[in-house]
Amino acid sequence: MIKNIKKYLKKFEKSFALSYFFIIMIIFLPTAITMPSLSFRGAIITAIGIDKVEDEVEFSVLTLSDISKDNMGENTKVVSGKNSTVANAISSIESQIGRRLKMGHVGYVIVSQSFATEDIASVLNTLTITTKLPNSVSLIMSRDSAKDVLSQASKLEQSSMYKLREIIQNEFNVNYTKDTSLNNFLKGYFSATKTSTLVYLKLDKDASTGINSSPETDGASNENESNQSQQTKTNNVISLQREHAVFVDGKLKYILSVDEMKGINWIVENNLQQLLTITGVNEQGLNNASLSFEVQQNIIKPNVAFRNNKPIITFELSLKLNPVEIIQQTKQMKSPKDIVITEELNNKINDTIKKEVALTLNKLRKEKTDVVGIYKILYSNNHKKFNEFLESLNDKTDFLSFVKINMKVDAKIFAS
Amino acid sequence: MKEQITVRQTACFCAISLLALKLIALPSLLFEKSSSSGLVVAIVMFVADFLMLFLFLKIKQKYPDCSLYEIIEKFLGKITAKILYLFIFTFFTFKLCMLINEGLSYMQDVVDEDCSLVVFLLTYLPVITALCYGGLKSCARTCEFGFVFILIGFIICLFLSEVSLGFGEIGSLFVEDANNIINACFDLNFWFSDFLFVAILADKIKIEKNMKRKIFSYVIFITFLLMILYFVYFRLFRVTAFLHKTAIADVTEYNRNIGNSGNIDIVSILVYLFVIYFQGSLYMNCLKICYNKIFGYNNIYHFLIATNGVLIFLTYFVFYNIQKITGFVLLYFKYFGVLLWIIIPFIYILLLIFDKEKKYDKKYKKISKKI
Repeated sequence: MIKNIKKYLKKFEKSFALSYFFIIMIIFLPTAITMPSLSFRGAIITAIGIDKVEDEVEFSVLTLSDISKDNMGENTKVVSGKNSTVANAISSIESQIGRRLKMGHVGYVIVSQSFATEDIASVLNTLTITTKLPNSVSLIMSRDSAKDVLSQASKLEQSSMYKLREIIQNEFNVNYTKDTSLNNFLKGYFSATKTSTLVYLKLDKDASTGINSSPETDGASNENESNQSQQTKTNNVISLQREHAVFVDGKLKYILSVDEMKGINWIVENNLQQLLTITGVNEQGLNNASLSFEVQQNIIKPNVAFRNNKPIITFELSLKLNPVEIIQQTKQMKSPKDIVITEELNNKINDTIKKEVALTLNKLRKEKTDVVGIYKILYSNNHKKFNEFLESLNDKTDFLSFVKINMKVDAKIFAS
Repeated sequence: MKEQITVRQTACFCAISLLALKLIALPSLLFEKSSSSGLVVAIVMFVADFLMLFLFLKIKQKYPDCSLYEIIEKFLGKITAKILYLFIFTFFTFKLCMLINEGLSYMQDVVDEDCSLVVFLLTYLPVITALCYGGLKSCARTCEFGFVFILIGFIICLFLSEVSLGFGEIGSLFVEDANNIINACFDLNFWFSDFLFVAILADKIKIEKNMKRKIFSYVIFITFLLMILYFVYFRLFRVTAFLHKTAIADVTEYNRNIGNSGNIDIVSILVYLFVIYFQGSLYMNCLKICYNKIFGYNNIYHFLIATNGVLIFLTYFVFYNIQKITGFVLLYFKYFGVLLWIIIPFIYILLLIFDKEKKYDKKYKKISKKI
């Protein structure tokens, strides 16, 4: 008997790999064949919107449909569910569409302003852990309902080559001073200052600028179509503002205007194609002219010193500028390319930057929020002295008011 | 004839061992345990590991034909050697369980969230069993071949993660108390101490010229790459490290600039799969040697059936997810790991200092000069 078993084992040993392959096939092949395909079991989600409606959370998703279309746009649909908790709202959506939500392809998450006044960080944190939402997704706050924005985004994607996801991505890559991804938001939330910022987005029905999400209609459209178009004309312009919503402890505190945002560019080394405008230039043959420069390179070096237990930060800016525009009242033919940076012009640039930074800092000091990461700079530089300084304050959240900030600019023309 | 592996193969094993348990959960644990000083903890532990490896190679130089078992048997007796090998057997079994759990967690996070433990075990255990059954030599040759792909893939992963970041400031690294750093080192010792296998396989490593230099060049290069990974991870996640339990995938996925260009995490998947299969086979080979020494016989079938049974039991009934085994290791098993960290180097240092006798042949004396 034992001999026989050994004989069989030896035979089995010779063709172990093949036998194992057949065993695996026998076990899994029937299940694999009868199992519905992944696209029937799961719905691919490309964007999420979270609203607050009558004390309940309205969770909307932009799902990608696998039905083919005639045109090039993506076939997407907005589905939403409402409940007191996000988990239940998701479950409600899943039961409506009969599929599980797959969050791996989510590109952006929109949070409405009405919902942002609550602790959104805990909701987002839960979403990350339970639904495996990627942390690199862009996080946006919308003035209007997130569901409406998703609807407009869906229309935009179906009617044109533009996608909100790509527009946001481009804004992050080119213009925005701060990374407003979900991970960065949570990093701010868990940091010592508990401060995070988000891109602010609006839907404007009467806005003259922005991207229109409704399909272009030609002259041959019939009356029905035009009536429909009148109905959908409301809220059909997506307008990305360069404003930022500031969150403290996961709750919306205030909105930084475009002017107030400008100063951040000179402290946070992230911006790429920013514009700098200098007014009242009276040199190089110019008379009270305004000069606009495109910032091609911006290297920021913070130098920290503590005097009388008070921190002083001097930001040394090394700028490479590309002159793009000259505006002046008197007729003067001069190309922007002829502009050179003299000491006087450098001083003017320094003054302009100082003003922009001062405007931002005043706002931040007033609101007691450190959006620019001054806390991190000071803590990294000398955490012992910085802790002593914090201990000496009555209100630690107001530490920014006691930090002296200087700017030292060295501007040069960008040689392309 | 005795199975022997070359120095290059040993170096590949060392490099893969360094990577195996450090790509998934460790970065998250490092920054959870000691916040910004996680990088310091990693450096301290790497240095400790290097010292251990140096010690093992020095002993190899002194006793070229002896493994840890023979050395302990010679000086402390057979029973002590068997008990120590039982400890090491348990240690490697837990390391293999951790590897299985980390692998499963990674698969669920990155490949298919419905991937079950059964499916993972069915695809993992037979491969490492076959690599063990084929013998150490064939396993080492396969590792040597696969190591090139691992290295290239790992560098690509780092490149993909670093493109969008640039090298900015990372802030202060020495803000934690020394006590906290030591505690973190103590807690996380299980994820290090990777070169113990060198002591087990010492008698099977061929003597070649510049052995130490060759092995250390591999080890230092991989450590350098690992430190880049931790640096990137630290810059990206910092306080949110507890949310990112699959470091290599998270770091690669995060890149926002190339995020739209398709599924790039396939690179990290391939790298990690290669690493866990090779490392699993190395652990199996070490377990086989320990098993032979403890029970004194060489029946491979008994060993394979017993080890697979133990692994299935442990992973299916006891440590059925990564949280479970991580919790157990952090609570209890860390003491066991430290015990090995202390006992073996202590014995080796004593041998280096006090054993002045020429216990090895003249021919070994000649050979050992080459190393």
